[in-house]
Amino acid sequence: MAEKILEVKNLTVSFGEGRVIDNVNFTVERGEVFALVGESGSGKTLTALSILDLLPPLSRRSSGKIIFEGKDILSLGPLEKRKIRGSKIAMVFQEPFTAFNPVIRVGDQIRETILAHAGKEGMEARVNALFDVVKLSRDAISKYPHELSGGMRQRAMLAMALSCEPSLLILDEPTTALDVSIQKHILDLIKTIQRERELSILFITHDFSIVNMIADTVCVMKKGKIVEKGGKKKIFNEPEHPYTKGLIACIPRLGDKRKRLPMVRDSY
Amino acid sequence: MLKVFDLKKYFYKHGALFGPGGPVKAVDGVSFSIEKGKTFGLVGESGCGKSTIAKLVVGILKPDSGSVELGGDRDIVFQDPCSSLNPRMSVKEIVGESLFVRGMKKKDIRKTVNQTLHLVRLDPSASLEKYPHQFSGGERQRIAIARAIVRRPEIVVLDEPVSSLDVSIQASILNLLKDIQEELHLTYLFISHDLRVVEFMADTVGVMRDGKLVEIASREEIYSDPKSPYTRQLLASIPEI
Repeated sequence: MAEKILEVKNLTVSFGEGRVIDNVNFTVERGEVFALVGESGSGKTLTALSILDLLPPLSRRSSGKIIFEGKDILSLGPLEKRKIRGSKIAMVFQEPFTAFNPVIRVGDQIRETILAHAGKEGMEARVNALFDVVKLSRDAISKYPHELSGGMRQRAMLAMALSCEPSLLILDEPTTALDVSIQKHILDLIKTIQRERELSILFITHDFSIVNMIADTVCVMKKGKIVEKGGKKKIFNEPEHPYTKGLIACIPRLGDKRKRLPMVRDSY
Repeated sequence: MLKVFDLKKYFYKHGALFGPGGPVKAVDGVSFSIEKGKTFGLVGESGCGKSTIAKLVVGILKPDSGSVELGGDRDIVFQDPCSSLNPRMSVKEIVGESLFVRGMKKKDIRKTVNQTLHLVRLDPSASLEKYPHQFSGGERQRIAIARAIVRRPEIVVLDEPVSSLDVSIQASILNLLKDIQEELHLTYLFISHDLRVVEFMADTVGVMRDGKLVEIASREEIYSDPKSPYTRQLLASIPEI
């Protein structure tokens, strides 16, 4: 039985009266790529933020345990949480432009992260090695975020996330703002890094064609609830829930002769 | 309906005519035409010049050389439904603005705006007085489409109209665009970086790279028998289901 690196148990988060995450349960095994799939508003980003305990101010977590490497991390003190956030669990956010400070060079921002979690010994070698891993040229280190293309910024974000050698990497729609062709390069890069470091990944997306490229396990969310969960092959070949079927069917594909795309109906 | 001939648009750095390295040749000799009622899909990666073509066709930018010949009125739908709608204007004002500017009477404006909102499957009574932030991304894009077609142009330029939407919402907007095209006999210039979306929408496809068209062919030919290695490279990067 594979080791569990992350267990989300009975997680419920509300804004006022409305539940945005409704009794969500799932487990990520070590070395697995776990895809959390759903449309905007399904609660998938908030689930990721709950894991890091970075929920927005007006929200309320009414129940739930997040067990990371055997420890219930929500019950830890703030200092302990800080040690985990960014180093043992790292997150790449959706908009690489807004996640980077625009007035600080990219390399310096990564150095800042390393300094906060690991100290300055061997700093330059670490930064250089990171940029090599994400296939960015070394002169990107001294550039500002706006001087990099979208794809390069996303690679730099990956470098920052990997800088403290996390055991769990959370990626929130990492390729949404990118061209389809650049998307492929970034996903291939993520797969390579994942294999080489035996990383566990929680991958959040609304796009099933991306899920097909990268996931081992798939979990479909709708309006805060999980509607279906399973291995990738099973979910693609035998989806059970009509919502899952809808999400898969509505993607246009090459060679598609359909005159209209099936739409995901809201009644499910 | 639309004919673009040897269009060129160069951007100059530092205000000088030839800065270090010369001008940026955003569009460098592009020619294509679109028949009435058809869709021309312009495909390419970021930076290839496709958005510049959009602005040249719609008249936001003037070409440095070459020509744009139109058989009718034109309008445009932009990629980002958040920034393309004025957040301080209500839907009624956004959609009605171009009619008001042309001196249409208030009563007629109201009628046309209502009809147009129905066309984009938005309920006027639930939308007219609201502001953009009260709508979802897909709904905002419908508002942007309504604004573009309210004067019933013949040609509509769509610059990555679904790229910032979830795939499920994307599907409903693409279906809507097809429906409206049929109902209003529109001619579309449809711009995207996603070949799958372009295949779904277009009759003819042009592939752009570094300001030039590297290939133009019918939809069937581009996908079954691409001639340019760049086209083949783009096709190879499409994720499969």
